[in-house]
Amino acid sequence: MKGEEEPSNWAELLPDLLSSILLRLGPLEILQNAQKVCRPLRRVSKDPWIWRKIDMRNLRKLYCIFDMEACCRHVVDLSQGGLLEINIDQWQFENTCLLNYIADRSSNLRRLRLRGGQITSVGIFVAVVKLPLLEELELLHCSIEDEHLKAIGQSCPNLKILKLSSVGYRLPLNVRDNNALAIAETMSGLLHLQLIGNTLNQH
Amino acid sequence: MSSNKIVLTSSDGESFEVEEVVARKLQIVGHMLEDDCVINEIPLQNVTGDILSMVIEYCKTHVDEEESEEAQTKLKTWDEEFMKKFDIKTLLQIILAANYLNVKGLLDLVSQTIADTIKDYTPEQIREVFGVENDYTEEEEAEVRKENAWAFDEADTPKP
Repeated sequence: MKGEEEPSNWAELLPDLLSSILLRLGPLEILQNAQKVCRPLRRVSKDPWIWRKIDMRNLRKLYCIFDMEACCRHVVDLSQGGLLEINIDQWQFENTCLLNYIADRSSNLRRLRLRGGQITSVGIFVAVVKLPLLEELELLHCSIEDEHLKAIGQSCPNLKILKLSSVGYRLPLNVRDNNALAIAETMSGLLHLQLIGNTLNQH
Repeated sequence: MSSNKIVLTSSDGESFEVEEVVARKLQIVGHMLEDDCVINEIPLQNVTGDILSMVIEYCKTHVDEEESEEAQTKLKTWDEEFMKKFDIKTLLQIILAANYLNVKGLLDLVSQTIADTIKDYTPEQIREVFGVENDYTEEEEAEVRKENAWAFDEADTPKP
């Protein structure tokens, strides 16, 4: 398989090119495979530049072999405060601590997408208000109370996109309240709003 | 845009006559043309003829990037077919050329193709495909294991 005297090989690629490739791999593909190949790849794997956008979705099947919460912390550490986007879903643990861990270290975050988990409205609120530059917030299968939503609107003046979908019948009725008025009150800069499964009043 | 012809010459002396609009897709050429608009022959020292011909093929196809969804889908399909022609060694040469010639779209396309290829590979398989040696010291390997302690199989391995 190895050619004689190839003019170029993987390890000789410029760091910029290695970054360009690693950027297109998932976090686990980098940490578990690519970075173990050789030193040049290891060096690039530690560059915060490639950890600006993190997608931790669809990893549920790996829960038995990885401690995903610790893995996510590792990835956030690698971003060294430069994280712009994070996308996490299907946590099987109570993830308020993790969300706080992310928020405390990622004041540049522009886009946060959370899905499911057992995270509480107050848990979301406490973390999200630490993200003053947030432009897009997506909370799928989470529920959030009006007062928390209002406070988020005040703390995140750049918010342009908000997507909420509540957990529906699995939650008590008083949690599935009408978020629309709270949104109207503090989020004047919104360009895109999506509410799914939230019970709206006629007013 | 004018239909001036430009001659691009590779490091091994092969010449390609292309329309100026195509040549300008190579940003390195675009910059040269801006500096001095009378050039009509450009030597490109870091790329061989066989690789340059592929870069030109890409640029010709992408010369007018229409916004319409139909045109985009067509280009995407062409890109996929184009990438299928090459083995990994050639892809590495194309990515180097795309970087040197500064063709952003091709650089992204090849990066994606390489990433898709290695995405499910083990470190050993990646080494094999790319012909690189494991140059890690034992200490460095231990360091990676420690960092990745969230992977249970690694946490289980006894530490010194």
